[in-house]
Amino acid sequence: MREIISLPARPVESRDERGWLSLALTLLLALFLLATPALAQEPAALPDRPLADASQEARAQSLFEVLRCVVCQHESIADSPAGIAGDMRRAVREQIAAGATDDQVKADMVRRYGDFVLFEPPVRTGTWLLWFGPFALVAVGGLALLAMSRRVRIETETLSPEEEAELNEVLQSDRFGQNPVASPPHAGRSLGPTGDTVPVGVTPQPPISKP
Amino acid sequence: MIIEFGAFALVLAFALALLQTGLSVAGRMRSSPVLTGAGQGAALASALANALAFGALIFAFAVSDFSVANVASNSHTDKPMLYKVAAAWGSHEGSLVLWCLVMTLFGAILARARGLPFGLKACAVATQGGLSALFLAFALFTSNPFARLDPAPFQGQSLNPLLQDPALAIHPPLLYLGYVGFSVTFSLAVAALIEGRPNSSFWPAWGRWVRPWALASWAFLTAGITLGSFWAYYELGWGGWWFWDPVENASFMPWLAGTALLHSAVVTERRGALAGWTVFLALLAFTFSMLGAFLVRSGVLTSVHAFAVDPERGLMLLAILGVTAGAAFALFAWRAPQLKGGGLFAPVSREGALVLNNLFLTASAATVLLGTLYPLILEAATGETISVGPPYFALTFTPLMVVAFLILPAAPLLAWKRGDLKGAMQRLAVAGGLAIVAALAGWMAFEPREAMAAAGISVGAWLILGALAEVVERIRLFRVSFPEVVRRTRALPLGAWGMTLAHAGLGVFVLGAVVEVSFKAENAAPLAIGQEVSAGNWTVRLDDVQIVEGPNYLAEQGRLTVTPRDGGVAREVVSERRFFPTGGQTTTEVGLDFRGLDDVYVVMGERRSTPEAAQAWTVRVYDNPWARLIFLGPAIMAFGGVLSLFDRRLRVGVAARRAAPVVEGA
Repeated sequence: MREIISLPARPVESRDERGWLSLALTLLLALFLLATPALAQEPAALPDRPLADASQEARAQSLFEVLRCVVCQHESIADSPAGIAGDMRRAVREQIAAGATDDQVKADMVRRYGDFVLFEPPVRTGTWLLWFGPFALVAVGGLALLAMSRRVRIETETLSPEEEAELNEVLQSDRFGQNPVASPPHAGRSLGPTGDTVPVGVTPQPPISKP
Repeated sequence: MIIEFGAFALVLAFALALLQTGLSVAGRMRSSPVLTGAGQGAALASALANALAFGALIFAFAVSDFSVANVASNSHTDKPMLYKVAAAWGSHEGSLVLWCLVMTLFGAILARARGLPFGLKACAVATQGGLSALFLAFALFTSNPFARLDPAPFQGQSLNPLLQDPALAIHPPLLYLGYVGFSVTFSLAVAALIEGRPNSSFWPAWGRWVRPWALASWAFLTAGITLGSFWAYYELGWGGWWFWDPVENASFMPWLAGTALLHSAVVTERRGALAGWTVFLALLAFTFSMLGAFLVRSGVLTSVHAFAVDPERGLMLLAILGVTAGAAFALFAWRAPQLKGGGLFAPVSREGALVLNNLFLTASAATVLLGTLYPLILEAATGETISVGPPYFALTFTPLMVVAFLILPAAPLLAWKRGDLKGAMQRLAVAGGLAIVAALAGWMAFEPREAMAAAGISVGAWLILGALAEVVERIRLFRVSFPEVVRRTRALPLGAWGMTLAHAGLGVFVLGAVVEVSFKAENAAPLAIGQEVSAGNWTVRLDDVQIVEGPNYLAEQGRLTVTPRDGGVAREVVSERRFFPTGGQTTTEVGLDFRGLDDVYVVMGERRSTPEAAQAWTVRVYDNPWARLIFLGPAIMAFGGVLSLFDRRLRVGVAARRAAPVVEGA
C-alpha cells in the first residue's frame, strides 16, 4: 500500500483543463492520504480479544447487541467500528470474565454513560407511555370494537312475524304515501324491540343490511 | 442557460400547481366544467414543467456543472456516469425535486382519470395541486436545487461514497413513488370529506377509486423499503438488514398505515362499511409520509440516511405538515360523523377480521411512532436521554404482529357480513397441523434448539400454508373433478392471486427473519494470506489481497475461499475495502456467497500486523442462514400488489392510466 501506485491513463470526462488540474489534485491527495499509516481516519479500535470461555463470549456478544455506541448514530457496540465502542466491548468482556451478571454489566454501563446506552429503555414513570402505550391502544381499540359490535347486534335483531306484519301495515298505510324507498319492508332497518313507530315526515333510510 | 431554464421551469411548475388549485376550486364552486377542465390542464402542464426542471438538474449533474451549488457539493468529475446522474436525487435539494415530480405526475394522472364524479374530481385535483404547490414552494424558497456558485469551484466535493451504488439509481425513486403515491389517497380522502354523502352508493365507488392508488403506492413502498434494506445489508458491512433506525422507521410508518388502508378500503369498496375509518387511514398514510420527510430532512434525528441538518428547513416542513395534516384532520373531525357508510356486519365476518387487522396494524404503526419520537419528546420535556432500539421493538411491535399473523389466514376464509368461524377453522386444520409439524422440524433442524425460533418458524409456515389453504378452498381442490378445478383456477381473479402471494410472501419473510435472527453466527479474526476463520457452518480462507483502482477510489481487494465445514463445493468471494480520496472516506464492499437460502457474508477489515505475520487483514464472517428469504418475501409481496393492480375489477384505476383525456362533466 505504501509503495507508489502508478495510475494507468484512463478516459477522463473533462471538458477543459480544469479536469486535468482536478485529476492532478486528486492524485496528489490520494498519494498523500495513502502515505499515512492507516486508511482509517479516526483512531481505530484495539483488536477485539474474544473471551476464552465460549458461553461467556456468547453472553458478551448478546450484550453488545443491546448496548448503544455512545458516539455513533444508532449503532450498537456490536456493529460500530468506533474506538469507544471497542473500549466498551472490552469493558463488558472484562466484567463478564470477572463474574458479573448481565444485569450488573448493564447497570455499570448505565452508571458510566446514562440510560442512553441501553437500546432497551428502562421502565419507569417517564417511559410508561412508551412501554404500555401500544398495548393500551389495542386494549382500548378492542373494547371500543366490542361495544360497537354489541350495539350492532341489537340493531340487527330480526323482527318477529307479528312485528313484521305490523310493520307492513304501518308502511302500507296512507301516512307514508307511495314512498318507493319504504318498500320492501324486509329490507328496512329494524324499528327496535318496542316497535317504535316511524315519525311522520321522516323518510326511512335505504337498506343498510339484510338481517 | 439550461440551469436557468430548469429554475424557471420549477417556478412555472409551482405557479401552475397554484393555478390548478385555483381553477379547480373556482370550477367546483361555479359548477363549471370549463374551469375544472382548465385546472386539470394546469395539472398536466405543472407535471411537464416539473419534469423539465428535473431533466435540467440531471443535465447539470451529467456534465458536472460545478457552478451549480448542488452539483458542486454532491458530484465529482471522476464519478462514473451512473452515479453522476443518480446523484441528482442523492442530495436533499435534488430528492425534493424528485418528490415534487412524482407528486405533480400523479396529479396529472389523477386529472386524466375517467369515471370520477365532477365534484369529487375537482376537489381531489385541487387538493393535489395544493400539496404540490406547498412542496414546490418549499423546494424553491429553502432548497433551490439550481442555486449558482460564483466563482465556480474546479472540482466537486463528490457524493457520500456509501451512496455510490447502483441501488441509488432505483431505491429513492421507488420509495418516493410509494410515499408520494399516498398523496393521491390523501387528496381523494379530502375530496370525499367535502363531497361525500351518507348512506349511498358513494362509498363503495370511492373505495374502488382509492384502492388502485393505495395498492400501487403500497407495492412501490414495499419494493423501495426492501431494496433499501438489502442495500444497507450489503453496503454497511454490519451483517444486519433492519436496525430500527429512526429513518427506517420513518419509511415503515407510512407502510403500516398504507397496509391498513389497503385492507380497510376493501371493506369500503365491497360493503360500503368503515368509510370514515378508510378516509382516516388515507389521510394518515400521507401524513406519515410527510412526517418521514420532516424527520429525515430537518436534522431532529441523526441517522445514516439523514440529509444535512438545517433547522430552518425543518421548521418549514413542520409548518407544511401541520397545515396540511391539521386542516385535513379538522375536516375529518367535522365531516366524518355525517358520513356514515352502510354495511353492518357481525363480529365474526370478513369485515370483522379486517377490522382486527386494522386494529393491530394501526397499533403497530403507533408503536413505531412512539419508539421513534419518544426519545425526542422525553428529552425536550425532562432532559432525560434514552435510546429506543431493537430490544424495545422485539417486546412491543413483534407480539402485536404475531397476534395479527395468527388471525390472518382465517380472514379470507370468512364470508362477508356473517362468517362461519368453525368452518374456517376446519378448512385451516390441515395448514395448522402442518405448521405444528414445521415447528417440530425447525426445532430439530437447527442447533442450538430454541423454542422461540421453532414457534417463529411455525408462524411463518402458518402464513404460507394458510394462504395456500385459501386457494385450495377457492378452487375446490380434491373436492370436484379435475377439469372443474382447472376452470375455477383460471377463473380466479388476479386480485385473489395477488392477495395469496402477498400473504404467502409475508410468511416467507417471517421464516427468513426468524431463522436469520435466531441462528446467525459471526466471527472475526486477523488473517494473513492463507489463514482461515470459521463462522457457523463455513470456513473462509484469505487467498490473496491486491490493490485495485476504481474510477474514483482505490481498494484493497481480498479474494477469499468459502468452504462448507462438512466438506462441499468451495467458492471464491471478493470483498473490498474502498478508499475514496475525495472526502477521505472508506467503505466496505461485502463479499456475498449465496448458498441456497443462506448467505455467507464476508467483510474485509483493516490491515494490521499480528505477532505471527507482518501483514494481516481483519476478516469478519457472518453465517446468515435463510437470509435470502428476508428479501425474497417482501419482493413476493410487492409482486402480489402489482398483480392485484391489474385485476379487471380495478380497471377503473388502471384504465385511467392509459385512457385518452375526457373532459369531465361535459
